[in-house]
Amino acid sequence: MSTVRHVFFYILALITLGILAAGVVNLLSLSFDTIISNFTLAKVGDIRGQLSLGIAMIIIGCPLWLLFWGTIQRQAGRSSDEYGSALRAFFLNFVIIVSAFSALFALDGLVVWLMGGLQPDEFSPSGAAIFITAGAIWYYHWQLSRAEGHPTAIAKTLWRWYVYILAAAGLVWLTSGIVQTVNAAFVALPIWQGDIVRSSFWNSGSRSSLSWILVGGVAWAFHWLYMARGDLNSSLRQVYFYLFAILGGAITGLVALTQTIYKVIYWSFGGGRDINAYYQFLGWSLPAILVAAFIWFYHLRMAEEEALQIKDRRLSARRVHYYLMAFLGIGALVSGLIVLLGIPLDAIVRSIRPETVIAGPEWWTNQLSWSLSLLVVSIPIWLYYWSRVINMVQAEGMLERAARSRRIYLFGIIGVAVVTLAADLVNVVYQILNGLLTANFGIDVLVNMKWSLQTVFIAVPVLLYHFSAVRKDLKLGSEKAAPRKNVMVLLYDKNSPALSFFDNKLGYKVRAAQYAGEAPDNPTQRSDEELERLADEINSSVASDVMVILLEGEARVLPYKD
Amino acid sequence: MSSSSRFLLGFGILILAIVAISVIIAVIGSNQPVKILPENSPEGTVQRFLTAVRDRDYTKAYDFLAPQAGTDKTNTLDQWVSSTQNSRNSTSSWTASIVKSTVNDDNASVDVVIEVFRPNGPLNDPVSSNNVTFLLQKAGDVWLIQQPIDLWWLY
Repeated sequence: MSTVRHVFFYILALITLGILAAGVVNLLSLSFDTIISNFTLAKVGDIRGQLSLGIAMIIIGCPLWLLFWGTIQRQAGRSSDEYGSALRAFFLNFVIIVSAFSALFALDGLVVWLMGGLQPDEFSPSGAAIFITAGAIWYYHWQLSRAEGHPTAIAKTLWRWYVYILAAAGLVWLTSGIVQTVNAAFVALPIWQGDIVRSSFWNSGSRSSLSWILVGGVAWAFHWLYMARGDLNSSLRQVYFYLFAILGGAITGLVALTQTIYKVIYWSFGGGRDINAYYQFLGWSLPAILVAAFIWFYHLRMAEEEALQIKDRRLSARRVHYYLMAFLGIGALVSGLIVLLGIPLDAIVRSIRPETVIAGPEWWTNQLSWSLSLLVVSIPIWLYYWSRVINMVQAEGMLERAARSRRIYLFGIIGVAVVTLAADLVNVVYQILNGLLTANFGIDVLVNMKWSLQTVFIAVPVLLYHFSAVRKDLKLGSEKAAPRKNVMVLLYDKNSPALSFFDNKLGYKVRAAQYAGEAPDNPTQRSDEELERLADEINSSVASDVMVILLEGEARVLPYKD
Repeated sequence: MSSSSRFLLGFGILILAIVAISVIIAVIGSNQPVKILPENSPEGTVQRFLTAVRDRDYTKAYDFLAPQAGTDKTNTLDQWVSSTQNSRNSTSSWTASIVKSTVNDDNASVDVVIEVFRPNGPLNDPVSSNNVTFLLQKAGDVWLIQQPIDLWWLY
């Protein structure tokens, strides 16, 4: 089958499946409406119209879908290549993802209705119909995809996209449901003085939050604990771990922690006069911190445990985590410093500016509270993780300096700092020139470039510090590293310092094999000069697999094949 | 001590210095009274209106607004108070400075710069600045604000 015909059949199968599904939803919805929602005769006209539309969609959509999908399935039966084709994998996973989301959203509505005591007037016939129809479509395509077994790399990748997207969505629903439920319970506590009317905790909002805990929990548990188990070699799993769960958990927790500290400092400075309403924010911020910390810790531990099973990832997993957290820390630190620097600059502006007619006491303390809360959260995080990075550099040497995550971190920060500086300096020069040329060089010039000055003052030291780190890395040859080779070192003792010497010198880990024969009482000690010569030999070897023999006699570097 | 450690130490000392200066400014600035402008002047009227809004005394603030003419511009007390709902829960802090004021017989205009501080993410300036021109009309001995009557500049 040609590619165009191939695409044609899949697109039409998708469209006709949509028509069939809409017809089924229509008829099921009508049935539920009639049975549960007590239809009256006045609505008989609506029933007929809906019935006609549903039947029409089914009698047109069903044969067409059977025709196109049947053709695709017959073609797949004739050619086994079809099962692993990118188009089929895309079609199946697209249908699975869309139907899964539709079914889960509809299930949420049904669970809310169930928890509300099965009130007929709160029942959503279309929700129940969508749940049944989308659930059936999901199950059919999910079973089909599983049975085919994802025989190609693209089929496996697209299947993973489905699994990790649903796992991520489930985790978000689960955690936000927990935070909202605790918040609703906290606000409903009879401790808030001054409340004259208090609504019941068991309302539609709390039922919806509990429903999301249930639905999200089921989706997450099914996709993460069952579907994604043992998928250790997946790059998408690493993205899920580090960029979604660990980084997302850290950001969520830090935002909630910063807000909590900010509100407490602000209140201690005299802001937020109504203590009752003011401290209700703890209802969401504390559970958010706890849930985010749990997500962060659980995924971090899991990522590290899995990395232990794959040798190449042992160091990189830890490294990625350190750099991500250091990046978060320095981002928040820079934000806090910029806001903090705004206070003295603002004081200068106000000492020159025409009369201030309103200046509440909170103007200064609010800015101070926000900047201090950012600094209180960010400084320990950045210092802790950056000192870990410095220790890694000292322990691993060139291996660490040449690491990709280190370069992404350093060049990322330098890039952001350079772009920020460029934009700010353009504004500063523009404001000065514009003020001079229009003969309007007054306080407005300073006011208009105040934010730019704040960011310039902070961006410069950040740029200089990270630029010096990059310069040192480059000076020590982090980018001159020779092509990575598969190096095996045969020696008497696997704890020999020669191994870490090679790691540092080559910029990557070498493997060690222990000599199985009898070791001499006093094995030959290798000098640094000799090890350096061997490292040069490894680099200059044309073979990609190299064995270094560090036994008695002269050390040798030999190419080999597995 | 390595040069990078010295750099970090220097930067840390600089941060501490900025924190100390900022705390001093915040403490002094919070206790700094503003000059009260004459009551029957356009500037004094704007100042009292803004003070009432800051103190959430909306009934008092409403007294500084001129009655709106025309059926589509009715601005009763309850309508105006309900239109200020959004500003009531705002945790933002703000200041106002008069930059220019013009009086022509019974009409006046007062240009005010209102700066609003609102804690937000790392990429935005948390202080937004609005230039608001208050138009006033003299009614007997007092000045009343004709425009703007809503608090858009606070959002």
